[in-house]
Amino acid sequence: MSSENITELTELELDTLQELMNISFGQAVADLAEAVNIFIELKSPNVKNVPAKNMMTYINSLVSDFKNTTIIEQHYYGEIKGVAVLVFYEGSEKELLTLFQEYENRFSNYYSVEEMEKEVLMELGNYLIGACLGNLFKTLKSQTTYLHPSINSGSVFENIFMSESVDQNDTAITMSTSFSFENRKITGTLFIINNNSSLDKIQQALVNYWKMYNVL
Amino acid sequence: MKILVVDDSRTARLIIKKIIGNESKHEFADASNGKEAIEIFEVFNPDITLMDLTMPVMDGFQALEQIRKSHPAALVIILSADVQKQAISRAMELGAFKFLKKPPQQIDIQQVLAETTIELQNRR
Repeated sequence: MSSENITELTELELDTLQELMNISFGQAVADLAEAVNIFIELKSPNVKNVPAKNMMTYINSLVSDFKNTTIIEQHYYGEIKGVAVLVFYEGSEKELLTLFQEYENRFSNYYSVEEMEKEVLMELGNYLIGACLGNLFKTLKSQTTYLHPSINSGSVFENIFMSESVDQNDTAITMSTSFSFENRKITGTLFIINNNSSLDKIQQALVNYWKMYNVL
Repeated sequence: MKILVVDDSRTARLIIKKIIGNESKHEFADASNGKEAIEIFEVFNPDITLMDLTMPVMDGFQALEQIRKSHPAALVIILSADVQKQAISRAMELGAFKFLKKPPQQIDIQQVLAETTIELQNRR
């Protein structure tokens, strides 16, 4: 498929990518749920072509009070390029710390509560993003390199993203999926925002995926 | 065999039907969420239902529970990317006949179809 005239994924391509996100995140969550012995409620993922200039409006439509959330972001480069953004809703960090009680006991003499909350969020974010992206890019057969994750508030992320992360004239292939820990006030949404430069690679990978099942 | 395929992803439904194959031997119906699944089940009366768990409007757990309540003999196979141990045990407690993990493997689908065929024959 030529990229000269095509700038967005088709409906079927979006649907297939949604299913691959479903499988990738499901696998990542299953291992985590077993490790912390808790059930994590999952929502059906969503995949859309989102104009970069509208990205923050889109994120804010899915995440209430985004400015007061905590963000773990991780950029990735290679055949598919973009940024993964794991949003933890306000209050999640305190609940997460109680969930990882062993961690709190071990480090409480050395770190403040705020520092431990950040550490737990970073560890969890690093794991969830890494596992999900790893599964996804393995299925898409994409060679990808990851930068070290960083933690920020929603408001800081919004300022940085709008000024640095994307070409404002671009359309980003945006995947999102929400989750919540059962009986705990821990809720979040994972966004995977792929640069439009990744379009050809993603489309070719989807064609190969369909061929595996003789679909189309 | 009459087979109801329930998944919000059109791709997933296509793949499941491709794997099952022999399309002339089977009659298929589709649903894209749990609510549709319940409505179509009443009209279509499938021999088996293949259903996802994570769906909008109504998820697979709720749909499975309602179908099994009104049709206790319904053969519902869960095919899901939510492979947490608790998800699997919940589905089995709600009366799922089998639980298969996504991505679907041809050998698993064919094995479960063979098992459901035997089950249906035993009931006659």
